[in-house]
Amino acid sequence: MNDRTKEIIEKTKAFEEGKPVKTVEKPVETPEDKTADEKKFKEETKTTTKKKGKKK
Amino acid sequence: MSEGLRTVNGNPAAPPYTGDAYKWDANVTFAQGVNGVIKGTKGKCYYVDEENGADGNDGLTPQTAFASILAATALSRDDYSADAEYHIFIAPGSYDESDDLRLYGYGIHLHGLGNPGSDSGVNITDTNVTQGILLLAGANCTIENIQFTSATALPPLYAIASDNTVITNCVFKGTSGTSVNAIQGEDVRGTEISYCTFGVSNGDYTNNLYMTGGADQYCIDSYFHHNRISSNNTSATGILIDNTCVAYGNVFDNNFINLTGTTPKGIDINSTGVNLITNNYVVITSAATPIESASSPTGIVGNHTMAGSTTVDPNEAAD
Repeated sequence: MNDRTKEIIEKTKAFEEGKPVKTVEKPVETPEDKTADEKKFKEETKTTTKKKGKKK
Repeated sequence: MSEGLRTVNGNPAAPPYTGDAYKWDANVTFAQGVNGVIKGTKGKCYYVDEENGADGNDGLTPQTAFASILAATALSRDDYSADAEYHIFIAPGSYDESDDLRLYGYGIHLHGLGNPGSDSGVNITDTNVTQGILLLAGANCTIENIQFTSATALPPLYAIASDNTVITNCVFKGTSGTSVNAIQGEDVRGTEISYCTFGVSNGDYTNNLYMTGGADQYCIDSYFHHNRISSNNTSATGILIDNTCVAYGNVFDNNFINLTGTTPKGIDINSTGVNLITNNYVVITSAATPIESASSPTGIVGNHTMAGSTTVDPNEAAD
């Protein structure tokens, strides 16, 4: 029995019991992640610019 | 010619329960004229006939059919072997099952005979169900030629975990103002949903094809094409994928979506994965959004969209 079959059986069991279940596959980036990354990037860019200004 | 299972030369095939005469992996012809190859070593064919069958029968021939689909799925489920094949042939009629139909396992095929509907084909209602008419958790399954009629807020088809499954030529008939999701998916992979009708006059759903969000929710490498979706629900969606559903590699092609409520959305892909949305015809209320995708690039290519009487470019509305 492969991992996906085990996962399907686990999901079925969890569904019947009304519980969530974790899957094997790693999720890709969500919109929330993307927004957080963009915010972080903007903040980092802003900080870098300020430092350059102080040096001048 | 008498009814029953036949081999390719037209001779009656021995029923599988009598021994070795019946050969799996051989071409067979059924009494209804359906040709196919039955695979596997453990699988069987079951027949269901609500009018002439009885659940006390063995279900292995049209003459000894079960009366309920539940009797057949109970014997077909929980087989996760690679060669599992269970073909359930359902005679025309209206089926008011006493519990949810659990397609848990591999190779379970529901074949409705005739065109879907209560007059000339198969119709399944949701009077007694608790989670949904059909609960799907398995792989390599088929659901075809069946009308699902909803009178409650429960989904007719709930895909808990569906791999490599075909759902085709089905009709989802709701109750306006009551029915919510026609197909609700939590984990759908490599699955095809095609040639289905969602919503009829005074029988529409809020969300028609809905992939839900949350931890471990997936919609991957699936194909949604040639479906006809209509609804006049206020905030209806034709195809909706939640932003926390991991969705990529899907193709949405050649769907006709007609939504007439106040603030509907035709195709609403909130996940950031890359999908292709092409050649759909979406007709929607004036100023509403026909197609949008959170993906970059959007994957919205060559669709035909109208909001009210105005032709709109879906790429302009994407966010």
